[in-house]
Amino acid sequence: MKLDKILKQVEKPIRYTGGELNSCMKDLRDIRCRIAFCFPDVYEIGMSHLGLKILYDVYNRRKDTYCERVFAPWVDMEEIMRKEDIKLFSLETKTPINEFDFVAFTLQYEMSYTNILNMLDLGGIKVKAADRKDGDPFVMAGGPCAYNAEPITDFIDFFVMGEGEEVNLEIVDCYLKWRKEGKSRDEFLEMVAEIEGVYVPKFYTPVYNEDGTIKEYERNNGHAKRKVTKRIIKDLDTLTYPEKWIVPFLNVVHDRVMLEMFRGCIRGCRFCQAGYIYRPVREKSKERLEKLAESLIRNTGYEEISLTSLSTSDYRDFHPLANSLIEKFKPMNVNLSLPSLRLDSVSLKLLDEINQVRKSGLTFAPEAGTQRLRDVINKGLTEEDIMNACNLAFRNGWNTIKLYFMIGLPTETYEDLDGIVDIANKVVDLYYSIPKEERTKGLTVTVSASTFVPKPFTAFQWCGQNSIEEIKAKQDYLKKNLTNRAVKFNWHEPEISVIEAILAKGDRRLNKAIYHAWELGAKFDSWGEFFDYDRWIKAFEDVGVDYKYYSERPVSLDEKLAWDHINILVSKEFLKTEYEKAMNETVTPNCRQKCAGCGASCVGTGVCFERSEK
Amino acid sequence: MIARVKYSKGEEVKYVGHLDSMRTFVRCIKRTCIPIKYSNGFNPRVQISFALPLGVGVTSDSEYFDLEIEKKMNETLLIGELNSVLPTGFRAQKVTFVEDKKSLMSLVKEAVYEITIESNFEFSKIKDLFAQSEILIEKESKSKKGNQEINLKDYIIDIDFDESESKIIVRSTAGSVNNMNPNFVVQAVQKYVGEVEDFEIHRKELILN
Repeated sequence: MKLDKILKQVEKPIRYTGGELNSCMKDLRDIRCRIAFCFPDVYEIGMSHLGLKILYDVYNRRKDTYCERVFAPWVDMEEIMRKEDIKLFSLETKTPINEFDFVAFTLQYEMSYTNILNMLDLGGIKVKAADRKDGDPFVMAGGPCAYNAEPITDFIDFFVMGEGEEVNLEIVDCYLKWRKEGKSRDEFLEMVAEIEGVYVPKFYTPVYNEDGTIKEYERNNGHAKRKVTKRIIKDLDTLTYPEKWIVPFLNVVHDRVMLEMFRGCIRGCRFCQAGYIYRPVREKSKERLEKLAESLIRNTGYEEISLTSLSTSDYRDFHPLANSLIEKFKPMNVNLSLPSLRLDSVSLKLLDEINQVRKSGLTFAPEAGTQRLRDVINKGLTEEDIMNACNLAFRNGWNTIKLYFMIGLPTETYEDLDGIVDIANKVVDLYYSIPKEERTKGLTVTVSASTFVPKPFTAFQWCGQNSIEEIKAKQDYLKKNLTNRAVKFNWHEPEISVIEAILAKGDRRLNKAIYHAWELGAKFDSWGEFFDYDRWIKAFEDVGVDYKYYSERPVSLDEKLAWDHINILVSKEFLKTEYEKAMNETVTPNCRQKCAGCGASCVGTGVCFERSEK
Repeated sequence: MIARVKYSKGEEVKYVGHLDSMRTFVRCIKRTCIPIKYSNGFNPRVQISFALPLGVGVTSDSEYFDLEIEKKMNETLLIGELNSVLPTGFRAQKVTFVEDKKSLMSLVKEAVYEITIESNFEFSKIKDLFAQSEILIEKESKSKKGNQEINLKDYIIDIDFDESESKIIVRSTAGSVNNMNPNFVVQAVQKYVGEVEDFEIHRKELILN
C-alpha cells in the first residue's frame, strides 16, 4: 500500500513526511555512508532535542555522508505499518532503516529502551546484535544513558561515550576504510573498538561472584580497550554549531532557538548524573554566542531564543550576554527565555524586562526540605535564598511560585518531609506579610515531589531506592500535611521511577528482561498511558531477574560496578569521597570556589583552569 | 497597506495543517526583507490572515493570505523573497496590494476542486450519481442539533468529469457561509456508488469577490 494512503488514516501525518525548512536533502549518488539517526520517541519529543540537531549538522556538513532522521511512529501508525508490512523509514528519503550503513540511537532516558527494540523490529533489523549478519546495518548508540550501556548490550553493536562531534566522524572514516578493505562484520567492530570513546560490548565478558555481584569484566578481544574513556570537546568556540536548523511544521515541545552556553555544571549536586558526566565545565564566549544567535534567528525565523545549559546563571558573562541579546532582538520581536535561573534581585529585574514569564510563575528547586538534607545532596540553595527571592518576586508582581522537591533521597527522614511542608507554609506566610497594595492578588504555591532515582556515575550510585510502599507513605504524609489552601501538591506514581532505577543501574542480566518486556508489549514506557508496571514485573519474574537487587539494594563501596570499565574522567575515588561527605552532611564547594579534585582537570581546559587564565 | 499573496501548496506539504501552515509562513516571512507591520501592544505580532482553510491532505493551486506591510514593495522582489525562504511545496505565485480592510475570508465566494477517485467500479456511475437532482449526505456537526442532512447539489454550481483520469471537477460555493467541504463529494460517492479505495483532492481555484 502506498504511504500516501496510510498517512490519511493517522493522527498528525506530518510526523512522517519530513520536508521541513532546513531539512537536509542530498543526491544519493554522492553519498558513501548513510546514517539513520533514530530518536526512540515520537517526532515532537525527538525534534526538541538539541543533540539531534548538532549531530545532524555535523554529519551532513560532510559531502560523502548523509544523516537522516527517524522517530518512533505513534501507535496508530505502527499498527498500519505492521499490517501493511511497511518498514520503518527515514523522514528525508523515506528509505527503510535496514538499508542504512548505520542505525544510530540516542539514549536520553531509560524508559525509551523498549522503543529501540520496537524500532529495530519495525525496520526489519534483527533486534539482537548476535543475529545480525554481514550486510546488515551497524546499530550504534550514544547519549547520557550509554554510560551504563549494560542493560541493552544485546541489541546494540557498539556504543559511543561522550560528546559526539568528533568521534562520529572518525567512525565514518573507519567504516569507509573497512568497506574498502572488504573485511568481515567482526573486523569492523575490532577496528572501531580502537577509536577512543567507542565501546563494543561483545568484547567484554562479565564474570559474577557466587552471591551474584560482579567479579570483573574480562576482555576477550585484544582490540578492546581496558577502559573506555568518554570523548570531550576541548574548545567549544571553534566547534561547529548548527546554524540552519530544522524548523518543524508541527508544534514540538521545544520550538525555539536553543543557544548552548556551556557544557557541564559547576555545582556538583550529588544525585545529578548530568552534573558529573558532562564535566569539566566549558563555556562558549559571549561573542560566539551573539554571532550564533544572530545567524540562527536569521535562518529559522523563530520568535524565541532560549539560553541552554545546566544552570543559566553560572555562565560567567551571563548578565552582559542577556542584556546584549535583549538589546539586539527586542526590536526584532524575538523573545529571550531563561530557564534554570538562580533568582536574585538582578535576575528578577532581567525577567521583568523581558516579560518572559508574564509574572506568572517562578520556579525553585530546593530538592530537599531541610538544610541538613540539602547538605547531604550538596544543593547549595538555602531557605534564606528562597525567601529573599520570593520576597522580591512578590513585591514585583509575581504571585505563583513552584517548588520542586525529591522524595526518597538517601538519609531522608520524616523530619525532612516536615521541612517541605515548612518551606511551603513559610512562602505563603511571607506573601501575606506583604501589604496588600504591594502584592498581586491570588497566591498559588505548587509543591512538586518527584521520586529519587539513583544513577550510575553519581555520588549516590551506591544508594538503594525507597520501596514503592515507602514512597507512597511519604507522598501520603505530604498530602496530609500540605493543608494550606494556597498550596497545591503534585506527585507522580512511583512505579515508573522504580523501573527507571532498575534500568539505570542494571547489568547485562537485564537484557533478557527488557527483551521480554518488549515481547509482552512494552513501548512508549515514558508515556503514562502506555507504561504498565505489572507488565515489567512480570517480565522480570518470567526471566528470573530479582529487580529489587538493582533498585533497593545498597551497594557496598568496594563492590565492582557494571560500569567500572567506563571512564567519565571523574574518578570513582572522588565519587566515593562525595558519598562519604554526603553521609557526613558535608558540602563540597562548587568548581569556581575551590577545585574538589574530581579528575576532570586532566582534560586541560574549562573551569579547572579559569584561575590561571587571570 | 496589505499585500495579498496567492500561493500554491503541493504534495510535499499537503499534510501540513492550517495552523501549522500559518506558523510556517510567519516564520518564513520574518526571514525576508519584506517590511512587515507588527501589531501594537504588549506582544507584537505579524498581522497575517488566510483565506478559506485547506483540509489536511489537500493540495492547492490557489491559496491566499493577506499580510500587513509598512510600505509597498516591488512585486517580483516580494515573490522572490518569499520563495527563497519557503519550504519546498509552498510557492508564492502572485501579489496584489490592497488598501481594503475587508477580511480575506469574507471575500471567498466559490472554489473549484479536482477530486480523483480510485476505485473498482465504473467511473460512469459517478456521473450518473451527480446527474440526480438530490444527493443527500450527513454533515457532521458538533452543535447541539447533531448531524445534519444536506443536499450536496445545493452547493454545486458546476460539475465536470475527466473519465480518463477518474477525476471529478466541481465548482462549488465556498466561504464562511454555505461552504462545501470537498470531502462531501467523496462521501457521496462512497455512500451511493461504492467503496472508494483512495482519493486525492486538489483545490484548483479559489474565487474571491
